[in-house]
Amino acid sequence: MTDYLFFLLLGSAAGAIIAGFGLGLLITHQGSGVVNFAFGAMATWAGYVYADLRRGAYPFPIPGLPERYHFAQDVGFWPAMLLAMLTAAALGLLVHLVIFRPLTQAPALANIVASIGLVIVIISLIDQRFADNAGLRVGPILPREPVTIMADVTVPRDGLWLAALVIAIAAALWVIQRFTRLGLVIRAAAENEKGAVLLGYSPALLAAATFVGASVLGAFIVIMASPMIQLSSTVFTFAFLIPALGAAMVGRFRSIWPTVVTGLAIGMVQSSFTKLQGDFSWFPQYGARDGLPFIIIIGAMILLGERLPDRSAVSTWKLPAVPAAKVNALTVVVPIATAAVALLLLGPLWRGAIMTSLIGIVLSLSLVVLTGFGGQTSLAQMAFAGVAGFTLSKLAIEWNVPFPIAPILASVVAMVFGVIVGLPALRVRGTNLAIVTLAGGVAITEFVFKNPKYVGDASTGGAQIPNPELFGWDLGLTLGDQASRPIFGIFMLVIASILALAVSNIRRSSSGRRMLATRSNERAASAAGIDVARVKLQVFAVSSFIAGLGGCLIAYRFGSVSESSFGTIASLTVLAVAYLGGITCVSGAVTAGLLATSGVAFYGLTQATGSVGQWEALIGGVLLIVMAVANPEGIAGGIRARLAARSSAGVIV
Amino acid sequence: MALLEARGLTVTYGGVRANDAIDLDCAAGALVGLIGPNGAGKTTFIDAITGFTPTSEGSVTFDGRDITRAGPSARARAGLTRTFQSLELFEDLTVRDNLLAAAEWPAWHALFIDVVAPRRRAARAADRVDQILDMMDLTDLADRLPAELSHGRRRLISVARAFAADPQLVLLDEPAAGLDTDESRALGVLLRKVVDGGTTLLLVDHDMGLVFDVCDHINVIDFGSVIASAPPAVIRNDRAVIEAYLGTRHKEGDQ
Repeated sequence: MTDYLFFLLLGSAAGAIIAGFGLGLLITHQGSGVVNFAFGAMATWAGYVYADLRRGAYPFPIPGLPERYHFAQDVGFWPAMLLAMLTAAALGLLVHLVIFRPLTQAPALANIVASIGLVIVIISLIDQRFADNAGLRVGPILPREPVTIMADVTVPRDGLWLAALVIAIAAALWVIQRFTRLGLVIRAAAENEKGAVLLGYSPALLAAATFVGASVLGAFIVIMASPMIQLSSTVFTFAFLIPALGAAMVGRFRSIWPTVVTGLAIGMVQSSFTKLQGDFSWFPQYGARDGLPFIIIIGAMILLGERLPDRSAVSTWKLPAVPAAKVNALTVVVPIATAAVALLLLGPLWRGAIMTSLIGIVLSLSLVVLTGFGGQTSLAQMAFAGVAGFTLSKLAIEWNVPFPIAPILASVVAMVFGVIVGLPALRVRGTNLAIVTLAGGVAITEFVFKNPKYVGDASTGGAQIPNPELFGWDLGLTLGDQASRPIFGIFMLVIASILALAVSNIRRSSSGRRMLATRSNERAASAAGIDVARVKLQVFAVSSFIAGLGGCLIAYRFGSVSESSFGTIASLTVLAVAYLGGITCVSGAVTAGLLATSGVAFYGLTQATGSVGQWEALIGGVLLIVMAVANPEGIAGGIRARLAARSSAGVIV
Repeated sequence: MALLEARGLTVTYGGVRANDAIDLDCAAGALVGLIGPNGAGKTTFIDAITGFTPTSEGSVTFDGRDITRAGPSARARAGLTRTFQSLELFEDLTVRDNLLAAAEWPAWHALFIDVVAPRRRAARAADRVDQILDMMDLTDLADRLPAELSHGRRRLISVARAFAADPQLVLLDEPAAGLDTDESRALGVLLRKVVDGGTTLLLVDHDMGLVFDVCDHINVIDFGSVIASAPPAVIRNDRAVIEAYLGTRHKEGDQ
């Protein structure tokens, strides 16, 4: 048993990070109502600033400026700490002023999209400024010498110190929350913003203060932890953020102690998994660590969630309006014919960009059904796509299932995963659902995609995919010495067109009406005899099936599948781009596909302006933020609103 | 046996008994009124009957079946629908689609057919929706979104949606709130027409003129309990009711 105690104590550092992040998320949410998915990424940047200062440089985050200011040498602990904290404070304030404050009245999904853009920006900045990441070692800050708790249990002291620090911070926050006027006002504002205004406090000021405070707290924790945990662009960004979201959820984004206790417990239990994997052969070798937060989040939802929103909560999750589907020669024949001609006549690079856009269209269509029609959210679309891709490889290579059947079966498997991840949607909605699906997607990624049993050996190129072949006619991208065959583009175009038509048919049918009724108002829908649970599972099923087909197209295109195509960031990006294109209609999905990274718009831009090369990801992230702030209802929604405003000033009858 | 029978229906919120052992019947084909001061528990009663709030004691029998434990959508499909005080329209759907969404209950696999043939719809549901639109004078507005319409029209749409599925019993939660005198009178005529067509109605409203004009039978509740249940003429002169609820305003209004 002492072995387990050892591993539990060893996990105190991770637990402290999760608990600290949970507190940061809680503070931000209390002050501003925002669940900041970029919290971990922001803290990571400050951590890098500290690490860089300790080797004598300050990194500038703006492309085009000099990469860093060089001091003569290590600036020392306190100056580095101070500068890193100031950076974190400035970043928190900037993020509040530029991104979240303009989005206060926007749909909650616009907030999520903007924070996804911010994550992408920060990750690409880190990858640019700290390309030599492996060389970045941070010297000890907290005391390290091992401490013997009892016979046979000797652990490094720094993890325990970090846990103690986080508990002290939690106690301080608790005192502020309970016993000071500021705490009272912040709690009041979280309940009712107008109430805070009446008490004479500006909600915007409160929100700014909590953004700054949370950012500084996150930075402090990352810096303190950086000697123990190697900095990387993703570890604090997601690996610790997701369990922290779980912990904050257990505390319902307002109670400090449940958040801290859950956070510490997650880190310590995860640590003991290492021991369990050694002791028990049945214990899963992959995915257990990331499955745990998912299970905790779902448990919290089941215990705390409400089945139907009550009277006041109906309108808190706004979504853009849904236009009627217009299916005619102009909207169907012209775009398809244009794409076909372009695929046949343009060169391989353009063809590649069009193929990327077609995949983007298919993935966006999956979200049109889920979010646009059904009002649900998923941050796991690429995980579903990946499940289909890997299943396709198994079916086609090992069991010789022929072409049209294999991808359809593979997408059915993706659909099963989609329904499972979507089950919590029966009890939770909005931002909370986004968190569940994010955790679910990560669990799938770790449990399935990293397991060599399912995905083959990465060193040999991952799981192989044979070319699609119909009636002896090879539709693949490459055949023999032919690369980039237009026929493959046409094949993709046909699939995308069929799906687009199917989605607009759903919009016009009785099933679509019931989806939109559920999206509009769940209480009224069930009063009208609509089985809300069934409709929600239906939209998850249809959506993950379409995403699965998208995953199969990706697999066919590359001839193999590997985990890197289907990561968490890809899932987030797909949702963000689909939202901005216009998540409520097929034309929005087409817009999104054209806008997708490396798609037609991007390729055209690089052709027109010369290479944007290494900054492509960063520019994409900045564009996401700018577009989310400028068009909180998506580009298609923005255009529609402007047209409507011009044609009539909303006559009331 | 009445179409709807509530027996000993009790709903508690924390320590408050919002409905306290209510016995109430709706006879088939009747227009039953339910009145009481603000906070008496009228909306709670509708929520409990339609499955929107759990009952802690008592039973609800509808059309001979015990539905106490059924969910809201199952009760709606059994022929028991409602309107909401706060309307709760499907703001993303046109007026016609608001009604259609409530009128058609396709099987789950209808989705597969819808993907290929979206315009196919149950002719019975479509006809019924057209009839209701016509009856309520909403045909001209069928393709508008609810947000483009006036408050009075929106209230009518919420009533129309509750009728869309050809239910046996509709619970109306303040359908006349915010309507002017003419609109209210027109609503009364309409409700009578619906009842004469065979649909049973339970009407909750503060417009006493409307309630006393159209109802066949009136229940009065106060502090969560039924204090009177009788035809309008009797309720009008019931001492307990006048003292507990109608008070002086009623006397002045009638004289």
